[in-house]
Amino acid sequence: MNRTLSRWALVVVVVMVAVLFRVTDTNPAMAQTQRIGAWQVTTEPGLDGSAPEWQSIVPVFLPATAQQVAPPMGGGSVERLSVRAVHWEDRLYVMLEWVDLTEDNLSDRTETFTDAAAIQFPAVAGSAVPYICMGQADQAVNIWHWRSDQQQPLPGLSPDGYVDLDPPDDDLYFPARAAQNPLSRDVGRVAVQNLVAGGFGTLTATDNGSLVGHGVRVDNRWSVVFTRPFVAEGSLQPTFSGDEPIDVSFAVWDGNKQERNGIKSVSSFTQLTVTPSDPPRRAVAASGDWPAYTPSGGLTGAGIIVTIVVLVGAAVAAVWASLRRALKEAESDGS
Amino acid sequence: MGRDHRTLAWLLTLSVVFELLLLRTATRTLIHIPGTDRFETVVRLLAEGGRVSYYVAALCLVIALLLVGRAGIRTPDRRRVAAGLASGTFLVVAAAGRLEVVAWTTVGWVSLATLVTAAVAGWRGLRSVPVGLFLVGSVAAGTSVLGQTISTPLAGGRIEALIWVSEIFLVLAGVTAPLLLRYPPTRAALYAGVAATLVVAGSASSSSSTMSILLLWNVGVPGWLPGLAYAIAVGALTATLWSAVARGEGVVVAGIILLVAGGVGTISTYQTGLVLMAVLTLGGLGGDVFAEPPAAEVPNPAGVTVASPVGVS
Repeated sequence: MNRTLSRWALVVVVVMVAVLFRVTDTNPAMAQTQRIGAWQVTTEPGLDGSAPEWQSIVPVFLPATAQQVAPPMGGGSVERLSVRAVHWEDRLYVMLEWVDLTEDNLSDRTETFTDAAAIQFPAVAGSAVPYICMGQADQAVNIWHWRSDQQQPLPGLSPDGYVDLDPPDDDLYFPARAAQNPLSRDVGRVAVQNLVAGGFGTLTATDNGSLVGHGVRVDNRWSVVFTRPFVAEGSLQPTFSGDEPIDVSFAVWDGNKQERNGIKSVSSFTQLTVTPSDPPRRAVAASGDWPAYTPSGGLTGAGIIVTIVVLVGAAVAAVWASLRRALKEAESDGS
Repeated sequence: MGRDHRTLAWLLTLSVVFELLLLRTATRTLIHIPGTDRFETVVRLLAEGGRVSYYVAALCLVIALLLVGRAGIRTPDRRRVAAGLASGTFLVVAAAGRLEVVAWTTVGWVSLATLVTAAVAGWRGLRSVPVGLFLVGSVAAGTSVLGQTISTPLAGGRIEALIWVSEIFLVLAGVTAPLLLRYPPTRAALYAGVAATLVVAGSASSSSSTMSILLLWNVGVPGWLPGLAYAIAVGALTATLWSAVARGEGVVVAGIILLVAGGVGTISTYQTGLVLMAVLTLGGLGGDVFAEPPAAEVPNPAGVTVASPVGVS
């Protein structure tokens, strides 16, 4: 009886302490995930990711997969991306880099799509990790979205094109502009959009403030730099500081692979820490960062067959060894 | 006291299962089911249950590791002393990391060292091969993260290839899981394993991205291998679990659950702690909490008696 009571007491005490931890949001564990340092630099790093000042910083590599949670799903053509981050005069700079063999910077037809990249932060630094797909009702996210087509000038009329009727400059003929679609502005196109969301279907463009970004082509890669002051100018945007790390995730789109919207390559959440230390530097040898091998693409045909044969063999061997050991034990027990 | 320890083992294992299923899997996959937005309250309650389970599991884990540490002090057995040292060191460094007294990289490297120490101390020959393979994968994945903070020739893109290595060893660990069993898998377990292989292979071929994203978020690997590789590993793991449950090998059941929930690499001190407890448990060094019952209490392959599912102290 006492034993039973003691056991139930143990369960009740543990559950009560757990509920207390939950209510006070006291997490006894710490994250050991990939961390990205936002290092301090003494000169303005600029928006050219191909510059030696950027390329000499040791990058952090993150694996990426297809987005398969919210429709439209798919993508995953980019399997790894690299991240570098620095800060200068209370401005955060984040540089994303990934391999993309085709430069897609036109979206002038319904079936063409542009290369793009995005960075997602929780709306409030230090809060619990929000849901990776656009956050959730009680944990909004702030997304910086760069599109390669938006940093190009507006495409003009093709030399072999013709116009039957030049429409009047009326909202009736420009419904996207009338709906205040920020991508339909005919002046002041900017490459980066500042977005906020609190769950699926709530993604909303907000004032860019001082958020800017620019992408450049380096060999067969995109290098995109985003920057914004530490202190946000609007709501639902985090303030960066060295007090605690902030969660961050990334997404990239390859327009040539018909990737757009939810069809993209996403990383999981990792952490970014603003630090007063100098960035770890190295000789600029970016080619070594992007070896020719492509993990999933490289293992095809014979490679897959060999892998499967080895694994099936290992499974059979494990069962056989287990049987043999039991037989031996039975024999020794019998003798 | 012994039964209290067994209760702790049950509570830890069950809370880890709930945390894994509710918090890490259900809340991330229910969105696939059309119309679940109508049951938002239910989904939120499930998520909350998963969060509480997480805290219960974390508390039980700390107590269990403390007990292993205490057992290491009270014995002349060198293996148990090493196990106690590993769990004690892990608890101290994880707490120091949480309080930001030591850097996260120090916590990471020390965590990996305690895992290796526990595995060496609990090495039981062929029976420990799956744990050894898992740990090789775990150390490779952990190094791929921690190694990027060092300005050495290892830093940069080359070290990322270690994730690739970790996946191979993770799959191999799953495939060789039957070696963990004291007795060979039952026939029903083998059927269950084949069925699990077919189901996972089917889902992988129809929606491999789902598998990739769940692997990345739950276990910490990107899922670069062909879907069939994971299917075979899951099949072998299912057969092992099924057989262990059927034959009352509770220590194996608990060990596998903790290992799977812990994941590969260094994700959080909670998950690394689960892996440490799993390695200790499967190495017969679970102390009073996950003590392996004497052979006489485990049913022989013919199956007569049913021992306590989770150890007897």
